[in-house]
Amino acid sequence: MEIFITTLVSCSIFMTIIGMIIMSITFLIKEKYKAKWFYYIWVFIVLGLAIPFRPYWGKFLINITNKSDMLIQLVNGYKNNLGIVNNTQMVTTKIYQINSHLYLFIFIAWLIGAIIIIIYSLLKHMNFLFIIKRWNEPIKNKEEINMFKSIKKELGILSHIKLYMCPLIKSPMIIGIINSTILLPPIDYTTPEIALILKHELVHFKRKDLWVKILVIFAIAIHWFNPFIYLLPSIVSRHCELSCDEKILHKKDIKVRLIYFDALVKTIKSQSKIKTSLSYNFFERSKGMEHRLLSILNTKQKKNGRYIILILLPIILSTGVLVGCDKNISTVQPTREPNKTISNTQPKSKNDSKTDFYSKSISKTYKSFVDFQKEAIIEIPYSEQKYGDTYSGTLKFEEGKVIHTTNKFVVTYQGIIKIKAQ
Amino acid sequence: MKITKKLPDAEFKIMKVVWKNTPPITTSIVMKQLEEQEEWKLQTIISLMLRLIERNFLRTEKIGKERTYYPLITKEEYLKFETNIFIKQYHDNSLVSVVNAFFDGRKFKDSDLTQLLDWVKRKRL
Repeated sequence: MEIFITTLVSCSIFMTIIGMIIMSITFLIKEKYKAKWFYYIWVFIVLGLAIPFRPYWGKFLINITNKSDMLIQLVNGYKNNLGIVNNTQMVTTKIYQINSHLYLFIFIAWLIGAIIIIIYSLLKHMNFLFIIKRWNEPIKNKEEINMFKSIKKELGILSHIKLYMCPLIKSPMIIGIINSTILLPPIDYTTPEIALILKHELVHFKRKDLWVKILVIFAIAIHWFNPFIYLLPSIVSRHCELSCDEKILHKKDIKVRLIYFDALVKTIKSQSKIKTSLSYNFFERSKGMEHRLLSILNTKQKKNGRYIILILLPIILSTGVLVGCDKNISTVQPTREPNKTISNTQPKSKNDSKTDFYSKSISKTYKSFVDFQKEAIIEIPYSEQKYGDTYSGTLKFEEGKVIHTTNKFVVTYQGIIKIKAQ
Repeated sequence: MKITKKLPDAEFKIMKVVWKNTPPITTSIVMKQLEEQEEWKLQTIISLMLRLIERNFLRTEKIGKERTYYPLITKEEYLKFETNIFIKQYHDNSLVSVVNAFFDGRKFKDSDLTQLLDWVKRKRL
């Protein structure tokens, strides 16, 4: 539980920092590089957030230490120095008991929050689809239907996509992952404008942008405690639209760009008539829109930014290495390597009434790193170490050979225990 | 006539037919046009239309033996009502958007948009 929470929180913090760095970099170099790469970077960040647990790659550079562990270590060290050994155990026990309850509580609170966000989003989206469906009208204009078919062909899309007119909406959109539908608003676009709009939505379909949006919601659900996560949807959708514009207008002259520009302005105009008291006006102001409109008219070729991804990818993946979780070691059983069982017997405190929590003995299988026939180094997950614990080990090999050891170990907070077979 | 509540789906389907045709409307017209989508009995349609009369969406007259219906609320009026609800529900919500909109103005204030359009005008000159 502790590991789960610490990993999640550290992932959240690291990704926030990376996101901030990228945002500032984007701000500086957005004119020079293709919007596509910025979008891909954000897709990677969304992925990094949605999957907070990285594969385990050997040793970690920094081991997570939670404060209470440090505290106990300090308290114990201090008391040992003073020679007060008897009371130490009591102190440790109490702190751990509080800790395990606290972590469970935090975990449950986190889970409830995540589930609420997922259910809320799901219901809201279903309601959205329901209302939209009521008003959908099939498009009768033959010219538009044929145009839609030819654009689909041009982009190499074979799957069936429905095309409707929906009087409720204020902007063209594509909805539905399984049953993809393009909806057009009641705005009087010209035929060339509609062609570009349909192309825009079909490019979204082809790039699977809706999957990214679902990942964004998932990332929000699991990082809901991070206030910065709520900026993610607008950042991702902004880069998504910019890169989509870019793809459609790639190598197009100013004439086509102006048509696209007008289509967008018409859409903006139709939305400016909407009167709402509460409006979301946080960070994203019309500046972003000005940038989008300007880049539509910008015919200058932009640099490829492929290497930005090459630099970034290892950074995102390494967040798992820097702040890794040791959980994998104890849960994943090695398939080829021999298994080793080590049982952990807690020392009995002299004060018997306080030993309930401490006297249970754990038997677990840990993966060992170095394995010789007679010696194994075993890493005990950090969270499972308690100061003063002694371990006596039994090495059990898969072939059925059992080697007993009588060595006793005192956990030294290094996380590594050596067992020698006798 | 003020609309206060969103129509349930079944009644909405009836209203769609009513709007599509020129009044006066009879139950047999509704029945015929809904034949393909719904397997509703005549009684169902009559009771649904009665409910619409209660809601002040329809008004009824009896000419001879046949009962005729007239819409009291136009499609445009009702559309405006639902659009307002729809926008209120989805305008301020950036959390839930599994749609790819061409332009998503939910994050904009009206004043921002007018400013933007001014800026566009200046750019295009």
